[in-house]
Amino acid sequence: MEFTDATIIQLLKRRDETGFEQVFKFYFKNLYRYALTIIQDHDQAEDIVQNVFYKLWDKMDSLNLPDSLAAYLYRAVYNESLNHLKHKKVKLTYQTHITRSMKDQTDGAHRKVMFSELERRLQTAINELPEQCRTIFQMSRFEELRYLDIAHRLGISVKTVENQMGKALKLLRMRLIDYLPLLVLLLLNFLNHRP
Amino acid sequence: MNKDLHTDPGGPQGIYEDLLVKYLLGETSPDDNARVETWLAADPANRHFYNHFQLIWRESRHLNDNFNASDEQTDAAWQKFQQKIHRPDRTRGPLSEGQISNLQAVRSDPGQIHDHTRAVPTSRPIWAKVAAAVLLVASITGIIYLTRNAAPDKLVASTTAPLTDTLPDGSLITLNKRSDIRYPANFKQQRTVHLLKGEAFFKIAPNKEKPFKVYTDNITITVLGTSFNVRNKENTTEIIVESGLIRVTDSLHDVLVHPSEKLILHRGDTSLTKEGTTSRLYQYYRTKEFVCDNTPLPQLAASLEEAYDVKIVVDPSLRHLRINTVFSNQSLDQIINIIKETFGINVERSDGQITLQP
Repeated sequence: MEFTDATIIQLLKRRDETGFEQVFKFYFKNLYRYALTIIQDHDQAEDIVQNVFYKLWDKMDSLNLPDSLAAYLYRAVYNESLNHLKHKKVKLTYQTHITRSMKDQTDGAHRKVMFSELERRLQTAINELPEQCRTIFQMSRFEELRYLDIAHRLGISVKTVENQMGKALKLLRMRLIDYLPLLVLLLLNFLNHRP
Repeated sequence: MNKDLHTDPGGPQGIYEDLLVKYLLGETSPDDNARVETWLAADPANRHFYNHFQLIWRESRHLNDNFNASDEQTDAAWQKFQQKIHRPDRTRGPLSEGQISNLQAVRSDPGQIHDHTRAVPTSRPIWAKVAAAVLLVASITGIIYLTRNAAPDKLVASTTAPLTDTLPDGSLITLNKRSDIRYPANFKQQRTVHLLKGEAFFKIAPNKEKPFKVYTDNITITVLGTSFNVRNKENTTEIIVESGLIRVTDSLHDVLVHPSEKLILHRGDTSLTKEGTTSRLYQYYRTKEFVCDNTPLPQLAASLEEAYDVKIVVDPSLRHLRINTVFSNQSLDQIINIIKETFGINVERSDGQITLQP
């Protein structure tokens, strides 16, 4: 007997709480991290993930999943996170917020400060990737899943994962291209002036 | 769509980003590898382009490292969620008796207590209860199956003692204590090992068609048929080659390491050090021998600390002492006594700490 997302949805539709708990706990960490990388606010990130699960639980009877449960959850978290940014009109202060939180993490180390600018740009560029691209990048980079695992979870082909990852790095490079040579210079400069 | 891949002014000529990223992530076939490596060697601009990808990939690794939710946080979130769905104004949600008894039978963490008071006794026929139970087990199996069916990676982890294991291709690996490696299920097709933490010695089964690669979080070691030791601790990676040749790459370097050479890399630092070494002290976890060859006393002490989980303090006035001997299968006490006799020094022991002093 083969179990598919469809089978699981069938079972979840019976409002089986234990089954739901498994799904919740399996996805929570990664979805939370996903929301957090976009909105940079721990409490709000958890609220967003809670809401996404609540909607899933609430609408389970009428839910129609076109692709996979994971694809649905990631897309929902992505959309809710963007809505949150839009709704709260924090988008304008977003940049400064990230800069500040990045600086807070730096413990004053010299190199780290120089790198915070790259990190900020990198963070912004990653969050500007289109939804599917963004989700796949998240799974590959931060969840360290292999292409095959990502394809399985999202119900897409490995070829699509390859294309989207190629696209992701290409877009990131284009967004950062002006900064990359500077970074190398900074590094070399730093080394030469080290005591 | 593909057109723009080739018109990006700084972009690659004659290769797709998809393939480069696959290569970067170790997802490529040997044919792909050959293609990418030929392309990389063809023009310094190509390597420059690829270095950008490497740099982006590497630097994004530690973004939001502190964004991971703990298990406790996950459990708390689940409890919060349960409260939400069990609010009194909700009309649905309670489990049937059959589901609850079954639930208790299959729960893996018996430590948690469920709120049974909400269970509403129902008068469902017995076949419905059986069906519910079967479905419940099926659902959990399904989830477990789903989360596992994507060919899970194999994990080899040592805890309090070194561990030797043979990889599916016949390569031999010895892990020092508290070290983890991971390799893909299709290892024979794709010989890649991630050293997740700690230290390992590799003796690689030669196979020219399938290069063997070892990844740490920031460097890649490509093996050209050889044996070598990798130690990845506290932001420093040390690689010592015993035989053959390896190639070490990270986002800024690409170096070859020969036998009796030791390569040292520090995370967050672009410099690397290569030094000649004949010391075999590092082999202790594999050979059970501490080979001291004009070894400074503090260096031996550091290895003993690691091997025996003790703290050894060497008085500054003794740091210049060097020792020539082999300790083979001896207890820590015996070794300490030999050191004591050899140098005529004093040893003081106090709760887990050994102090060597004049």
